[in-house]
Amino acid sequence: MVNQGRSLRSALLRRVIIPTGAVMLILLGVILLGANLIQHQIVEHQRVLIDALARQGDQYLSETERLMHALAYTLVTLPQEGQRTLLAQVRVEYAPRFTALYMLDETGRVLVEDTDTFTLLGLDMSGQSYFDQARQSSRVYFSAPFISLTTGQVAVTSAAPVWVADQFNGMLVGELNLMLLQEVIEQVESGESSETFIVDQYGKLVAHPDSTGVQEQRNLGYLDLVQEGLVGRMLQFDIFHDPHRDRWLIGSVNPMQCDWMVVTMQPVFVAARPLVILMGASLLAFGLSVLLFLGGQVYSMRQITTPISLLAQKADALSAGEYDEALSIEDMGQFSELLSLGRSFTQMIEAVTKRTAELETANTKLLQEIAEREQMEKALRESETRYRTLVETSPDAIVLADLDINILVCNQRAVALFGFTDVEEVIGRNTLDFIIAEDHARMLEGIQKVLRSGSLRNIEYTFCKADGTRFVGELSTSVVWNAWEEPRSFIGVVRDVTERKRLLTQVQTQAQRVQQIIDTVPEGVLLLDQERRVALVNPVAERNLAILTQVKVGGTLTTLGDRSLSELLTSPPKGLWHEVRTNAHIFEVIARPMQNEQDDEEWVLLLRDVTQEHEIQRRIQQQERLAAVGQLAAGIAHDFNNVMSTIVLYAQMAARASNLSARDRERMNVIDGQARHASRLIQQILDFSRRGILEQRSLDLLPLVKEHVQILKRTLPENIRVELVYGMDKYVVNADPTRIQQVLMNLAVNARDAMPEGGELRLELARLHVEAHKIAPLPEMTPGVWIALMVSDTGMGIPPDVLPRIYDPFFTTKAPGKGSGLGLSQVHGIVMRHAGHIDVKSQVGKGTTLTVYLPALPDQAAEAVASVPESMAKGGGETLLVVEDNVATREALIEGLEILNYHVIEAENGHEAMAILEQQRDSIALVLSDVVMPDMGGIALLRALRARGIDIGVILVTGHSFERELKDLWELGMVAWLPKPVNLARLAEVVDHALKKE
Amino acid sequence: MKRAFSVGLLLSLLLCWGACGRKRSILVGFAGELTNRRGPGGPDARDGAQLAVDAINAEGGIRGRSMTLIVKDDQRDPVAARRVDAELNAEGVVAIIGHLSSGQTAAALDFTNEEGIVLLSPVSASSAFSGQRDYFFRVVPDNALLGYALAVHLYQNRGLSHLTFIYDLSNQAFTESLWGVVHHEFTRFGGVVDKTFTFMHGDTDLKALMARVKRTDPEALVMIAAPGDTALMAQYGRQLGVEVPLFGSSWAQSQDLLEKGGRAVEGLELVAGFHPENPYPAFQPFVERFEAHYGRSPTFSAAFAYEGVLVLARALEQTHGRAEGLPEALTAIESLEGIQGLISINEYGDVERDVYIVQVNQGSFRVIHTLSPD
Repeated sequence: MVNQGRSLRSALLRRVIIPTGAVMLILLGVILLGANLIQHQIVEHQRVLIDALARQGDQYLSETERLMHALAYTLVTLPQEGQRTLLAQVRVEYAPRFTALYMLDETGRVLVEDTDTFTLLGLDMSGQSYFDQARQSSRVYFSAPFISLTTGQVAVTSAAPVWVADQFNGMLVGELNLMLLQEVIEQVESGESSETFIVDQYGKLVAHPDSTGVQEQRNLGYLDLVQEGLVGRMLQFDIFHDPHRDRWLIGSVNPMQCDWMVVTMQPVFVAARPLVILMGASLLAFGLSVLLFLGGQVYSMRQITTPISLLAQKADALSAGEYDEALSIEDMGQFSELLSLGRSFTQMIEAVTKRTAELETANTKLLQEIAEREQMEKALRESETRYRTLVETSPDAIVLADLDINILVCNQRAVALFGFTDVEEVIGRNTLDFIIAEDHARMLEGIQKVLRSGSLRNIEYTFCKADGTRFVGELSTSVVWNAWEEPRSFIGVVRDVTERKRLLTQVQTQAQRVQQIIDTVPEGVLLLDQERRVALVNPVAERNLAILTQVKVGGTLTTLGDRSLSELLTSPPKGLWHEVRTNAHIFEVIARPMQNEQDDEEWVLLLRDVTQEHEIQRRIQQQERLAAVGQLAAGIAHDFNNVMSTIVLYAQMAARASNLSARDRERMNVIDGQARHASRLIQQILDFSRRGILEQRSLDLLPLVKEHVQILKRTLPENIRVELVYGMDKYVVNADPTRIQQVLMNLAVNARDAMPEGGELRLELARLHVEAHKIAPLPEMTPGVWIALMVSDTGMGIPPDVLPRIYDPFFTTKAPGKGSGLGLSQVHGIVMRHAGHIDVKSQVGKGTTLTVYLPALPDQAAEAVASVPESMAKGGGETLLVVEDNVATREALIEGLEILNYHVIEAENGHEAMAILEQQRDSIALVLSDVVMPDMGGIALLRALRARGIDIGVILVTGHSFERELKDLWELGMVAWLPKPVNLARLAEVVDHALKKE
Repeated sequence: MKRAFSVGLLLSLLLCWGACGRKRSILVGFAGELTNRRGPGGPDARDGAQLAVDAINAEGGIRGRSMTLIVKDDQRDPVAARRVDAELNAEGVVAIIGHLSSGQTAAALDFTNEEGIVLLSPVSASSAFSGQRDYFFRVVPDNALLGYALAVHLYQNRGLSHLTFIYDLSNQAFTESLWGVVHHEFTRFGGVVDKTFTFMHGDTDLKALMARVKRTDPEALVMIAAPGDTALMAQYGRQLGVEVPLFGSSWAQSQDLLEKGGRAVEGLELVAGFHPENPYPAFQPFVERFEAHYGRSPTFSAAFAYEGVLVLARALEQTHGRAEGLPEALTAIESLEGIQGLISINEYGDVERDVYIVQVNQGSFRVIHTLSPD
């Protein structure tokens, strides 16, 4: 069978190989023929191309050569002007061949050029390589290509020497434009991906379809083909490698007459593309014929040899007992004999298979019965073992007793529970032996109940062990019935519940303590069940709930304050706490889910009343912000103060000049007035920034406020009613009366502006006691006695969004020009300087109340407010020493004092003043000194004077507050002090007063 | 011609398959001014670099991989300088040899430093690039050395006390840097700088400029300009009767100066990093190879570009042809045999090499003084 197959296959293979070989030979012949044709075609194409180009190039250069030669010899016969004209004519006529033409003399200097711009005229060209090269022959010389300086295009220099009677007479030089060659090359159609170009004798590009290469002066001398051309060989159809671009090329080269050469080249694969196509088509045809032959062979084999070998395989399978495998005969071909053989074979196998199946069924049934029996026995054994294990491993004592409750059987747990070591010690005993006598009656009663009902569960008895110790146990009893439904025995199960009872007590105690803790925490704790009902609250939470919602314990919670409960049960967007607000309160709420045993979700809510905390925080922030702004403002105000001092003094002095016209005097007064206004604004800023100078003393506010109310009644519009309310108390504070007047004035002006339609302005004085641990009107107020000054109006009120900014300097809601925005800032600063506090309450449309709290002083006789005299005292020519570092301020002071009829000596700092005073002590009546100076300030000067025993009156001039040092300074003998900016009237008064004191 | 086509074809097919199977080539960029009218420095440098690449490949390349030079023209345009560097970077070069003037280098340096591409300039000498740890390297001595050498020569060797300068603003990074050093050193020695003229290559009428120079009656003239411009200024100067000693910069050391300058540049002295008759053993073979390939003598641009490639190749040997670690490998180069002498790169990517005072003598350059960096 196998041998037959093999011979069949080899016969068929032979039939395939012979025709295939024949086809291959034919194809090879076709390829070689095609290759030869293509090669001839390429060679011919390249030869024609480069020949034509070389001829054209040669012609261009030889024409040029002839022209140059003729021109050179003509030129030497002409005068200079004629030479220039001829050169210009030639250049135009042969354009664009020459980009420049010029004639050199025998030394190489430019004699004539083709233009009249004379850029080259007189230049020495003897250094140019063409000069020597051309002079050595009589022929026209062509240089290597270069990029022309004038055109930026590739050019060569052509030089024609002129020899007259064997004497070198000069040289015609032309810059030859090679654009013509470039244009020709660009127009050549040399084929796909092929390049045709011209290179010079060194391989440098002269013309190339891609002019960039020429511009970049690329050198292609590295190519094998070009190198062959460089040594003068004409090559056609050379295959070579371009190492720079890593590719194979086919090319030809043709040298030109001037040592240049024309080169054409094309990538091998592009040139040989027709051949590749030819080879591809031939291979395809070959492949198809082979496939056809193979197909025929496979078909024949399948029809005869395959069915027979299949039948043999199936017979082998049958002998090995693989009936299924033997039965699976799929295809016996198309021949009837083979098909009949296949059918008979199948019928035989089916008969054998049927008999075998019957025997197998009987055998299987027998085996199954045996297995079932074994299974039942095994199950019985396992069941018994299970129950035994159950009883023995039970944590409870289990006993079986007869109807007289004598123990028949028990487990190991029972032995241990009753305090024995062996089962035999327990068996035979009566159950009552293990129960204390007090419980016997109950036990017997129980037995009767069991007999009636069949079982009794968890009856608690006190048991006693073998050693007499007792324990509490639960007994569950059941009756065991016999086949005739008669009681046969009891089964008793005893469980020791001592530990359980102890734990229960412990849990109850802990629960009580937890409740106590929850009740005593200072924050509200609230438990919500899964239905969101309030299940538990501590007392704080109960109070909070009353504020936040109407819901009581047991009620369902849906909202808290302004927030829905569902929102509160999620994580807050910022921080840990949700903020919940009512009209007057702010709460912080945090919710945590709690899983109970039933897996229901319950929630614990923590409620914190942070209303007061928020208020404190807000006020602290406001104070800090105002302090920061104040610091900034103070810096600016201080410098302005110095400037204003000078302006005020000079304006006042100028106004006093006798020769001033009325109009100028008026102008000076305007300057003075405006400067004073500016000074007031500075004062306001200084007050706000708490830098103003304060003269505090014991002051009863009542007469001051009364006096002020009188002024207000006179000055405010009639439609504003002014009212003062006060009690029988004393309202004594430590304050600067002028500043308090300022506060009253600013508050009254604000109230007036708030009531354009009229209303009621109410001033109220009250004395209040703030006690520790009790709520103060303002959180920052310390315990003690406070005087409250309230200024209320019935005006338009302040909108809530404006309220936080009312103390900001320059913040105003008034129309431009109506207010400086400094009034309340000043009030705030002054109150803070007095260690006081300020509060504002306002309702839009109803009015505003501003309350100033100042610490009360113990009752004592307060000083009355002194009035300021208006007269301007003049001096009697006394000598004063002015010490001031700022030149402008010093000069203003000096002039002011001189107007007031004093003689003035000046010093720039404390040291200088000391030196003057030591020499002229007797002639100087008084010292006026600035406080802050870089080199020994006023206070240091005062101390130094006293240290040296110089007892002279000193007036300190200051822009800063120095109230802390004030007491010391008075003691040191400071006679007076003047605030900056210095006002002439005040200066006159203080100096006069000081001199009189002296 | 007569070889059988089919045999040739089969051979070339085999060669191509062989080529495909070869190791991938290492790409090296070259960026310089190839199409400008300022002088032939660009093509010279490119040809020098290509000659070095061919020599290295002929010796077996870098660890068996060949080098390929990708050439780009920066057109002496700062925008184009950055553009071609970006193109080279995109094409995957490991480093760029270039640019060829300090102005162009300055324009591209921010980009190459940001991208971390090594820029190895053969000839950018401006002191502005000195003493910085970045991606810029060079093989030419910087202006600090060149300027000092020229100032010493002017003041001490030539005994000049007054100088007039002319420099080209089209390559300001180089010219102003050199002017600054010479000016500073010369005045420090006690000399006086009478006047400094500037011009813009291609825009300024050099003849008119020289007329203005003549009016100031200079004692000596230092021209920091391209070779062609230096030559023309010398010619115009001589025409106008400016018969004072002329001096130039390393930039002018080119055949162009000699050809365009003619007798007007006879005696002109310039400071240079290039010795045209360098006695170093490797120099003459280089000159011969260059002349054989290109039919002209190598200039300083060609020589330094050649050395630039040698230096880069040595560093690439260390990095196995990769760009990573190239700066470290470059700064580690010590006593590498160049063609003009031993090359050591310092930690800032600069070199310290001999500087020469070169004189134009009978139409060629002659070294009259050599100053070592010590």
